[in-house]
Amino acid sequence: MTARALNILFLLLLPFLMIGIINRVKALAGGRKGFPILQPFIDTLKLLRKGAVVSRVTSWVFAVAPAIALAATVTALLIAPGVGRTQVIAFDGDIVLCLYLLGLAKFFQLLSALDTGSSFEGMGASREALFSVVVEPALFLFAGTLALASGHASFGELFTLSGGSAWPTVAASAGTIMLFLTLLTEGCRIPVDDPNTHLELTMIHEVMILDNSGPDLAFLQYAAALKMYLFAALIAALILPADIPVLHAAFALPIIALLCAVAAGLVESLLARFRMSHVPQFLFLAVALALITLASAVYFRGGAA
Amino acid sequence: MILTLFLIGIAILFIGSALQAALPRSVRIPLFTVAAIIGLLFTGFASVQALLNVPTAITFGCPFPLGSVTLELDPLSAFFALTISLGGIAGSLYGAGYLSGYPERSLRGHLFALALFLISMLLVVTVRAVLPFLFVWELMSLSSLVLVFFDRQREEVRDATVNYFIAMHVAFALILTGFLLLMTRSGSGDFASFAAAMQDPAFAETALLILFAGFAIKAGFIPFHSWLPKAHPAAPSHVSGLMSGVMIKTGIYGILRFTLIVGVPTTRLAVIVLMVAVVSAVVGVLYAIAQHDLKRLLAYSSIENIGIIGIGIGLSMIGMRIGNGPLILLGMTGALIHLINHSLFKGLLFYGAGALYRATHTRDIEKLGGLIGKMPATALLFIVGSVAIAGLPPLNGFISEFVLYLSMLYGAPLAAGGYGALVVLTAGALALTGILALYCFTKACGIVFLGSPRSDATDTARDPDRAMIAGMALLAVAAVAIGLYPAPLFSVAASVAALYPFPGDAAAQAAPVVTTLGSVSRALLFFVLFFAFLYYIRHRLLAKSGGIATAATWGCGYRHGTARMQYTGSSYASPLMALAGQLLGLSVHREAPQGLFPARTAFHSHPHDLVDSYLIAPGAKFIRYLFSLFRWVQSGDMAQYILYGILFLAAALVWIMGGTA
Amino acid sequence: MVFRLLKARWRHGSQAVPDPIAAQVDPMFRGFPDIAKEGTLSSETVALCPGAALSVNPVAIDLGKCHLCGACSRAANSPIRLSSRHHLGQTKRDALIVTAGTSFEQYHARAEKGRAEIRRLFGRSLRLRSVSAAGCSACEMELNATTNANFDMLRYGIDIVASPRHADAVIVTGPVSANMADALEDTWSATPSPKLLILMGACAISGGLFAASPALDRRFLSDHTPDIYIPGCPPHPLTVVNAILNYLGRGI
Repeated sequence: MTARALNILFLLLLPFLMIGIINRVKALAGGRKGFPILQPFIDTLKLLRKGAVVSRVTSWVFAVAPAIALAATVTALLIAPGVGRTQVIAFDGDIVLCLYLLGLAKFFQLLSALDTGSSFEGMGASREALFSVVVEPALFLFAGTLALASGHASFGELFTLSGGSAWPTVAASAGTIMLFLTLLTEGCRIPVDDPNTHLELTMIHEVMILDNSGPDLAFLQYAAALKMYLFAALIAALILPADIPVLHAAFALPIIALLCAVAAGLVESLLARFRMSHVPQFLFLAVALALITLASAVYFRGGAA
Repeated sequence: MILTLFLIGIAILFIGSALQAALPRSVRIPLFTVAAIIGLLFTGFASVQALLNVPTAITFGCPFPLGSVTLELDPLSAFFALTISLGGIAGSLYGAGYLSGYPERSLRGHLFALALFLISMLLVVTVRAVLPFLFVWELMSLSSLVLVFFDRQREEVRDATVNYFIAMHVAFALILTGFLLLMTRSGSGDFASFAAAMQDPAFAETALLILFAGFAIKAGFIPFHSWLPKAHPAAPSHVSGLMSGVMIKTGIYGILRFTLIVGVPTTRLAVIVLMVAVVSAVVGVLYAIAQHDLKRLLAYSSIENIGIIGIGIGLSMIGMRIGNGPLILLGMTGALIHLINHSLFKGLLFYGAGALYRATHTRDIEKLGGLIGKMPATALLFIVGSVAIAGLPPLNGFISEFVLYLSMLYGAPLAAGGYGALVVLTAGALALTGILALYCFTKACGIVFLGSPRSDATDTARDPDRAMIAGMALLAVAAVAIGLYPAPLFSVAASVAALYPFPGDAAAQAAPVVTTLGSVSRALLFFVLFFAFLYYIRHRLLAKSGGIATAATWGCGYRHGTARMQYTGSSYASPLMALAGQLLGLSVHREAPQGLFPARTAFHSHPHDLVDSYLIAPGAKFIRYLFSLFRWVQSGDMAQYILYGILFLAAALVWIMGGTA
Repeated sequence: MVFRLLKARWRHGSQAVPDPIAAQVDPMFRGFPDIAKEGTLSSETVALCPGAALSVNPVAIDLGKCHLCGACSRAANSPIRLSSRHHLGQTKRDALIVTAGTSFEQYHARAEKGRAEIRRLFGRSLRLRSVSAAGCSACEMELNATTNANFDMLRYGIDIVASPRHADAVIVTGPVSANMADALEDTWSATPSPKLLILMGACAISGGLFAASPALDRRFLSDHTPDIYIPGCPPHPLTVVNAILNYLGRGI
């Protein structure tokens, strides 16, 4: 019960905290002060109190998309494993609902971008759609592999790696790298997308929200941060030991999330965004890692039935 | 009793369609629609009853050569009959509206053919012997040919009809061959006797492969699909919806029925089915993304969904070979749920495309845009259909994909050795299909309905009349209902899947899944309520703060932007086409800007169906060449023809006399 | 490659100005003009001013037109001395006129803070959308410098954004030519309310050197009242940062 309450508390606080940490790491790497760590919270409070400007070309799709995206992402996070791998909503096959809810959010964000009739937004939408095409199958392959190895079908149990052989180490290593790549992709960070560019031709996620303002913008920014946090939570679920006490897990989860943020900040400081044609090649790495995990699952269960 | 109701429904359909031919034009459509809906309500009701308690078969005599014909409504037949009935009701309602747009046509033949089409499909899924089956199968093909041939003044339609005719008869030949092979072992044309073929698995495998190839042509699996993207766009929209939504499912019925009767002789057969299905799903949706003709896009999307249904069937067949309970039950159940779901949302989408064609007289999405303002009801219904076909919660498409994923999550750990890996890879393929479908339908909705109009084709667009909207709305409501409350459909489909050989107690395997679906529904209910809450908060916040101002779309201060500068459908698809274009035979025609002050440039891209270009077209050319070698026979000279007659008589005389001698 | 980057970072150290509000600029900086109470300007000296900012009886400099070039201070018998005080921002146009005997403290006290609701809303988070309206790019470069590692106004929650829909204030640089008039209008209507209008540089405030040009179209500025005026040519980044912070109630 407390674990579930903590999950909800963390999903309210940690996403923006992660963004704050990423910005702080980038600032430190650049020898400057940068935004205060709590800036994303302050920005959101301001945006909620601002008015909106809506394009005359848009329709109800543009108006409802931010609310749908945020509602779907929050519901997905309630399903995702949190403290000690407990979930607020859990059932067999919940991983499918979680990832498909993220898909629903993406569907409406893509439509909202096309609704503005702007050529930049259409461009951002098509690129964002392409990146999902490479990343989603990798995630499902990974989930299927975990089911194959563990015999379970619910998120928390799937991500509990057990077994005496090298399987947990292989799965955790490959999985962490793959989930970190997905974090960078779904969180729209370098080297997949540049969150600080002002040149529309180089934007992907940013350009899709170019026309949103006020509370809509706040919803979309929170949804993007939530997605990043979800993958950090999955990394935590994967690498923490199976029998970790709830108290330790309650500290470990935020620490791991913030470590992921630091790692993302370092990646953003040390790399530039890849050329557009190289990004899918980079993302195929995620698929390759999923396939490696599958191969090792088959290899290591050779002993079992 | 149940079967009597079923036959009454068929009779009402038939009588209604025969009657409308005799009555004046003004009553034809309403009479037919009422008769069709009532008749299909009878058959639908009978099917539902049959699913709850299986009725006994009835047999009645027919003129030579059919002899005595047995009709049976076991759960499998009833499920398909229900799908056909539901699809038919929506289709008739929509068709009533659509056909009223053709006041100059007499429609006698068309409506009669439509009734025969529905009746023959209902009979295909209920007859139980070779000759009656082939008879109603052919009736179905011929009546659909008449329906496709509606707009015969267009060359595209004539070509598509011929192509379809040939494809259907190749299918017929393969099915006939398969039946004949099975009959050599069974000794009779009665389907139930085909089980004897299992005594020789290698033989059964060959016979079933040939039989399934025939059904695969009907269903539209790749590489047997090339007729589909030609015929479905060429047909009028109410027919496209019925063909895509209902007719191709009869191909699936064939595969399922004979898997039930004969069984799965070898694991190799099951793996072949799975592989063909995976290829159909992934390649189908890739082709769909490349299209700029909306109905062709929907046709390829049907191929993709047939692939998904095939994935469920393939997994189930593999399960039957390796004794894997979850794969058998949940794979089959997922396939069946997807079958009925697809007929609902694909019908909805085709009917939407028809409304668009009626309003704008073009199927080319690159000429459309911004129609959500002029056709709000169509736009809303089409968006609902798109969310459903992309398999997204909270609509019905998600439920069938969820059940398929469950079969894989439960089945993988129980599958020994390489089969476990195969199941996981299939999960990856299904995920790839799902995300590509999302890409495809954001393109379709976004380019057609959102943004600004790209040409003046949209100037006079408005929503279609009430009958058409009603047909679409019916399907949309069903999609939402199944998405939020899937348990009844799941239980029905599971009871059909339980017909297949299952190790242990099928009901015990299915019951926990019903509970899981309940949890899914609760999570989705939370999502819907939370969305409403967030939207309400947004509304209140904006009312309190600066309010909503309107302005032009932000274009960096550039005031001379035009609607042509928007992203087009091919632009939206281009990042993916850059990766997959080779596979799709994408031909690109580029006219580069010339000179110092270039005035004009052009770009055009078009996908070519590779199976069609490299397999079918050369094959057809070769056959035409062979026949051209005999063109000298048709000289046009009457004297020569009389000579042929005399030669034939002489040869016949010699043969007869030689025989008696 | 990573090691080279980390080594470079180590050598550079942190280059942020520790406190931009209290920071002093180099004494060479030409800032606030101290005008002696006695003394007058000859007509040649008045004609020297590129922005026609000088007037006599009493001797006064209109900082809205002043390019801080110092020519007037170098003329013979000039009562004008340019100090290096750089907190020059104001909230009213006429507050920019410095008459003889006005001390810097008196001048600075004229700068008002924004309304209470504006300060509550934007006090810790302000996003600017820059419109470069046919200027020479000097102001744009200094505006860019406000977000660099030295001046770093991000630490106060102020940043420049990619779209006016995301912005809270439009900051105009350049004299606003006819070609940019529509773009400026569109940017302003694309910004959601509540919003601020900031004019940066002599050209934006008064047309500057180009005030007499027929190529200008400054009707937008007569229809909308700016909230902050930042004089200079170009204004020092610290002037910009402090003008905004002062408006938000966070300055000295």
